[in-house]
Amino acid sequence: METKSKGLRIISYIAATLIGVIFLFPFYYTFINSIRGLNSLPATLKPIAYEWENFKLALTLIPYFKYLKNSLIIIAITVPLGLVSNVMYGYALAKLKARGQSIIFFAVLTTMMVPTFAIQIPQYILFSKIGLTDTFVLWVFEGIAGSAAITFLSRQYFYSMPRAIMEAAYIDGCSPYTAFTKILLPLSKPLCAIVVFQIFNFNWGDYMTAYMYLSREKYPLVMSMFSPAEYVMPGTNVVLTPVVNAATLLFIIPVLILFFVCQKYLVEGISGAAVKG
Amino acid sequence: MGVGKKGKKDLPKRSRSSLEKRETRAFYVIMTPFLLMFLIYRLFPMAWGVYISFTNFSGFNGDTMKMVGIDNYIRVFTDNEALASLGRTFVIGVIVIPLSIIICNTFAILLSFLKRGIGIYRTLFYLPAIMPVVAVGTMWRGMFLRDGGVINELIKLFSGEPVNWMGYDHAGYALMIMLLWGAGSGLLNNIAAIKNIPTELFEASRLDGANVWQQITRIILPLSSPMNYMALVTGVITSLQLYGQPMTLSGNGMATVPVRPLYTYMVHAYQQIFVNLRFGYGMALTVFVVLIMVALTVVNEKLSQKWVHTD
Repeated sequence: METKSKGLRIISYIAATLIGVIFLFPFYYTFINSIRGLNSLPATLKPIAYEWENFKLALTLIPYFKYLKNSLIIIAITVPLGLVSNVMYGYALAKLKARGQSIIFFAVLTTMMVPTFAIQIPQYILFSKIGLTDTFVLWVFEGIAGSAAITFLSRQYFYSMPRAIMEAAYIDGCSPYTAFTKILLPLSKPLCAIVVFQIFNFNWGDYMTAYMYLSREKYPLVMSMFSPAEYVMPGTNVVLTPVVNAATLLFIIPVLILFFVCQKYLVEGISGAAVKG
Repeated sequence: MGVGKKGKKDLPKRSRSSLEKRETRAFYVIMTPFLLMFLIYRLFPMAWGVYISFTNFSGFNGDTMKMVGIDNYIRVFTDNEALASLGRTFVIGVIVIPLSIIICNTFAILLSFLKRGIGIYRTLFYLPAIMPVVAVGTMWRGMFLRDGGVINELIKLFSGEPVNWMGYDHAGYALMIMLLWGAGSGLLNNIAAIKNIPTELFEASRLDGANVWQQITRIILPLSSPMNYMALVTGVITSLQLYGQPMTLSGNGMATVPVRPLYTYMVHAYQQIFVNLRFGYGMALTVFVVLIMVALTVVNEKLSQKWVHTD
């Protein structure tokens, strides 16, 4: 809604800027405290030192590349698998008519209702019984199973496309599979962008699953970057706050980059989905 | 789009019924991986968890494990910590969920008034939501420091008394501030909902002499209600599962007991399972909270007919 009133627009800009500053402040605060001296008191509103060395320490105190590799393995498994599975399930649930469809859709929804926590504990017990803990197999399963929320979003997205598209595709000789790959998928770039971003964002920052299933050797970055002192002196109480702050900023850079790449699609992706309750 | 070039309006009858068969077959072919995973990887663990909740399983007592009936469930009600932490979790939810929804709507409406720079503001408001939970906890812990933390410094600047944010009296507020800061995750949905409103609606209402406030309350809010409903339902579910945020805010490691205001229901369940090795009781706690979630979701669904706008 564009407002005609100039006054209202100016007030809105001022309000939005003020709120933006409040929201940005923790990042700024983390930044000025990532470049302070290791033993100094926290900086409050402006930088008190410029120890860029801390950023280097954040990457060198821990075996950074080993953990980065583990993170990348998890991403390499979950993003492609999750993209294919969630988008395909969404298509099937929205555009293919079949008996039992609503029951299966309900099954998708139950996985959203039951907390991950409640599933993960019994899952862990099962996994340890068949000896699959401390492997990345779990993430293969996660990828194939899809995420309830993202499957739901995909379904809503395809739901908003007119049924006539399918009819036309069939007349042109498409099968239910090629109708998806040739006609609907090329129209689903916004959806794919939002699915990739959400899966990446979740798995990059998810520490609960890693904490439960993996040993220290296989930890992803999220488990190690925030406790650098542990790697210098195991069992220590020292926190090395400036290094942790530097690590925090370095850690979110990939997510930020992906966010900017996908940002145009992110809102379109949701507005494409039928917004029905 | 290049489809339908042959100009046929409809498919012949015979191919229609075979089409249905093909669609059904394709549907089940595509959904097979999901169904397999659902059975093995979701339904089976859930059933197992429910079974465990009726036993005295401790993780290692395979030989002495036995059924204990509803003992674990009775214990949920006799264990003071369980109900106290559940009440605490409820209070946090009752405060944070409505405020989050109000924040998302306000910001989305605010952004809809802007002409340029929407992308930048959208990113600014959404930024906190893309931070991993661990990093958020670390960041706020630094800001809430008693000595030298920026929040206390700001309080001093306005000549107030510095506060021990991580202590018993204020840790709850600290947690809620942190949660509200991350409320922007629902913002994109609200922006999308407003974007979907046909502009003619606003023009027509303007011609009818509606002011901005009336446009907000009569057009934007009713048409955003499906998104707000989704935010409410997921908000209730996730706030009852609150675990990661209080733990990373307290920042002493996952197996430690945080200060009481941060000791949420799920932290209690986690403690029972992984620290006290009371798997049976921990699963009973979890099943109990899932039942509450299901009940609240049903209540939400019923109430939604009163306020959620549908065509």
